[in-house]
This record gives sequence, structure tokens and C-alpha cells, in this order.
Amino acid sequence: MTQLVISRAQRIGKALVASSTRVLIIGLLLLIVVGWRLEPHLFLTSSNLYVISSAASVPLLITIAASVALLAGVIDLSVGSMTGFGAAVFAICIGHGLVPFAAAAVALICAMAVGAFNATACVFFGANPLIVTLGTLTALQGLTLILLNNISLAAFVPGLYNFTNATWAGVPVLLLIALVFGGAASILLAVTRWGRHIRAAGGDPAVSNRAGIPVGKLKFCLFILTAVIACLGGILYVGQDGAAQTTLGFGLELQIYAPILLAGYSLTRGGVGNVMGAVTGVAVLEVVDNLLNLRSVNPYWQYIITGAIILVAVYADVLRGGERYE
Amino acid sequence: MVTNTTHGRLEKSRPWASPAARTAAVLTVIWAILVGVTAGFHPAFISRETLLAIAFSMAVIGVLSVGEAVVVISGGLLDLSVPASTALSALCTAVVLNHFGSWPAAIVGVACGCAVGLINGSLIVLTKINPIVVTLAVNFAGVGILNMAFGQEFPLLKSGLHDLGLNHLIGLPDITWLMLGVLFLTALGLSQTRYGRHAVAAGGGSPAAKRQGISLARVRIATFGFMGLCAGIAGVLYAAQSQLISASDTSNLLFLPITAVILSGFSLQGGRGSMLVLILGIGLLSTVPTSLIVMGLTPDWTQLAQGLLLVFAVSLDGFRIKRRLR
Repeated sequence: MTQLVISRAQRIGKALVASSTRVLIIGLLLLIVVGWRLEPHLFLTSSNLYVISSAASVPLLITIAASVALLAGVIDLSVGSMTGFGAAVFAICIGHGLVPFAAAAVALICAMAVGAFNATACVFFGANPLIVTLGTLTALQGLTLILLNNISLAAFVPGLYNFTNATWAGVPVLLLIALVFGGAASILLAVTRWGRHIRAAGGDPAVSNRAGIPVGKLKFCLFILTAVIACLGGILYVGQDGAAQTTLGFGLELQIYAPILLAGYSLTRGGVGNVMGAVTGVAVLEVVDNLLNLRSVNPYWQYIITGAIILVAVYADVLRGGERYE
Repeated sequence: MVTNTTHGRLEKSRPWASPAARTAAVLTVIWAILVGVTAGFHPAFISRETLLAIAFSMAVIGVLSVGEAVVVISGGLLDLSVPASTALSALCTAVVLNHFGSWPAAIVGVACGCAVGLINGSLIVLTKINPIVVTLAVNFAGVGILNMAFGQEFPLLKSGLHDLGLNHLIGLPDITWLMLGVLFLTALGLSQTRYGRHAVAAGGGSPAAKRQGISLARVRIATFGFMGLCAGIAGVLYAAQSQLISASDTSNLLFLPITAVILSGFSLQGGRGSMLVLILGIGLLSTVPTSLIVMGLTPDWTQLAQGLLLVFAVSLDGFRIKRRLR
């Protein structure tokens, strides 16, 4: 007999390890075995694991925010260039002698403005978010290059450098923070009223609106949240690299949305998906990336693999009952 | 019913009051303002050289716009794989040109573009995934493959194809006339042939079209194949006017055609739009990059403008659809 009422503890358990996440975890373990067989002396060393985990930290943070937003049907492809833009604004403010906290505040306010811009176009004018944020992506890339004058700008912030490179028991602190953020997000989504509202708003916007959920406002806030977290990622990158690179964030949006789609999210309808699944998806993609690097495969293979992953993942959603396009 | 017929009669008796005429008037005014402002800053803007430069970019952007217009009017949303298919066509044209001469090169180029379009169409029909996602993934993978296959820049030898890019007829470059020919033929095909009317009907309302016995799968494959054909022609035209080609050259050819199509009154909902108004849209959008360059702004500004214009166009279209549904 199926159980109709589930307790809060069960709901949290389900949120942390959903069935789609289990499949991904098995895939991740298989990949690790494959990696160990292919590169027995390089792959499972502590230094390589550190490389993987520190490369994964910032994308993971942005992925979690984007996956929460996608539950409400909010897609923001401009996160990649938002990262680069945030880094540029932060570095320029540091260059003008601002205190790091003030510089970060300026960058985050700019990010909020961009998020509100996306949200206005998508929520109030009802434009297709995929195309709008693709436009914002290009516009922000241009703006970043204009701001940086086409040259990477050095901005070394000792405190931020120490923070972004700190480790705790050999694990990057940033990764731990991202994991805690992901766990907290999935628990909050499972037990709070706002969490249910987010899922409902993505599942059926019209019905949710009639049920009294402020769908428009919710989506507006999530656009801003995604942009702000992407900008935060850019600031953390400045801490890691000691500079705002002109090419920072190119293609990052696909690195973020590919694992989200792998985790069973849908690009055309919200309400389905699981945040911890997206976290596992990031791990899968980072391991694949690392293996390609270790075997010194042509970096363009990554483009092809990402493109294929997106198609396969979205096709899986169509088979599961997602929107069928004719 | 009564209001409908009255409305129809009104539109027939006063053609200047139709939405298409209004869009055309607005586009003409904006175009005039753009030219006026640029000429105000730099009187040298109004010269034969600028006219030729704009006519050149009109050729490539125009052919791509015609393809996108057919996809949009048939309800196929958009084709975002333009950079990959145009680059493939241009690069294949270059390879064949350097070995076998102009005609085989042009045929191979067009065929390559067409092949990408047919791949897009078949993927959409087979997987029932949203065309925006399919073409985005195909573009991503395609750019990866092209970069691996063709490496860096590719030189083009002097040839008959180059003469096509250089020759003039009544003041305009040959390739601009070629673009106008493609546009008029497509306009005739859409309104006068059964296939064209089927495509427009499929865009106007897919359930109704289906009930009329129109095969949506065939329409999708045909329209995306036609888009690929246009991208192939655009690639050949691009090759005809350049000395060096690289796989990443065409990335800025994605947004201008889409924006031209949407600003010309083609709705992403499908079924609406006029090919004659599209000429104005193409002219306006081809003038934007040139006038930004004349004003002394770097290409980064063009990128910023392209992104913002796209967001503006999609928002306008979304707003119109919302109002129509109300």
C-alpha cells in the first residue's frame, strides 16, 4: 500500500537523496572507477582530488542557486557572463581604492539591477526567458569587455585570497560552504511554505496564481537571487585568481545548466527536480572534465560532450512526460 | 463573427492602417533617426563607402533573416545554430574553393548548411524537444567540432567567388541583389505555393493545422532545412567577402537576424509577419554595427547593443502576445 501522509523527516530524507540522485551517484562511482583504471597514478591522488574540489566550488554555488530558481521555472543563461561582469566591477572598485566590502556591495547592487532587468523582460513582458537571458549574456559580455578595456585587471585582496584558498581537513572551505548551502536549500524547499510555493509556481503558474501564490513576485526575486549568487561567484573568482579575467565566465552557463538537466530538471516546466541531484551532477561533470584534462584530450571535446549531455537530458525529460514540442 | 468581418473589411479598405504598415512606418522612422544621428556626429557617414559597407553586411544578415523568418512564421520558435551552420558552410566553401574552384565550392557550402538544418529538423521531430534547446545544443557541439577540425584561421584564394563579392550592379554589390532575390522568392513561395501556406498555417495554430491534415513533422523538417539552406548561402556569401575565415568568426551573426525578424513584426507565436517589412528590419539592424563603428565605438559596444536590442525585441513581442490573449 502506498503511504499517503509522509512525515517531515521522510520528506527531508527524500529531498536529500531522491531516486534520480541515486542513479547519478551510481554513475559518479562508475566514473571514478573508470578514472582510476585509466589513470591509476594520477586520478585518485590527494592533489588531484583537491584540484577537482576547488574547481567545483564556485560553479557548485551558482548551480545550487540556479537549480532553486529553475524549480519555479526561472531560467537564467546570463549567469556565466554575470560572473565575469561581477568580477570586473569588483576588481575596478578595488582598483579605485574601495574597501573590499564596499566593492563587493557595489558589484552585488549591479547584479541586482541586471537580475531585475531580466525579470522585467520575462515576468512583466512575458518574453521567452531562454532568448532574453541569451541576449543579456551577450550584452553583459560586451559590457565587461568595455569596462575592462579588453585587458584582464589585477586585483589582489589578501583576505579574500586566504578565504578562497583555505582548507579544512584537506577540503576547500568554499566547497564545504557550497555543500552546506545546497543541503540547507533542499531542506528548506522540502519543509517550508516558500519551498512549496516555489515548486507550485513552476509546476503550474496559472493555477498557483489563482491559489494566491504571488508567482510574478516569486520569479522576480529568484531572477535577482540567481544574478546575485553568480556575481558572488565572480567576486570569489577574483579572490582565487587575484585578477578579473576578460574570459571569465565564457560558457559557464552550460557548465551550470548541464548538471541541472542531468539531475532531472526540466527547461520548459518548473516544479520537478532536486537540488542535491544537481550537486551530484556538478560532481559528475567536474570528474569528466578532470579526466579529459588528465588524458590531455582536445579541450573542444568538452563542448561536444556538454552539447550531447544537454540533448540526452532534455530528451529524458520529454520521455518522463515533459513538454512535447510538435 | 460580425466584428471579425468588419475588422477584415476595414483592413482591406485601409491598407495603411494594418499592423504591418504600422511596423514598417516605425522601422523607417527609427532607421532615419539612426542615420540622422550618426551623420550628425560624423558627416562622413553619408557616403558611398558606408552604403557599400552596410549593403555588404545586409547580404549575409538578410539571407539569415529570411531563414529565421520562415522558421518563426511556421511556429518553429527560433534556430540558434546559425553560427555553427554558417561557419561550416563558409569553411567547407574555402576548402573546396582552394582545390576545385568557385562553382563546386558554392554548391558544397550550401549543401553543408542544408545538412545542419536537416539534422536540426530531424532531431526536433524525433525527440520532440523544444527547437531552442535543440539548436542551442547543436550549435555548441558544432562549434566544438569545427574548432577541432579546422584549427585556427583558414586562407581563401582569389577566385570567381571573390569577384561575386566585389562586383556591383546599379550601385549595390551583387551579393545584396542575391539576398533580395532570395527574399522575394521566399515571399512568393510562402504566399503562393501550397507548401508555403502549409508552413504559415502550422505556425498560426498547430492543432488546427493538424486537423486539416498538415503533417507538422514534415513542416518542421522542411522549415529547418530551409533555414539551413539560407545559412549555407550566407556562409558562401561570407566566404566571398573575406580573405581569412575562422570557426569563431560567425558568432556575431546570431542575434542581428533574430532581432531583425522579431522587430519586423514576426511573432514567436507563429503565423504572423510580412516579408516586405523584413527588408526594413534587415536594413535597420545592418546599419547598427556600421554606425556604432563610425561613431568610434569598439566592437564590444556592438556586442552590448546586439544583446540589448534582442531583449527589447523579444519583450515587445511577448507584450504583444500577452495583449492579444487578454
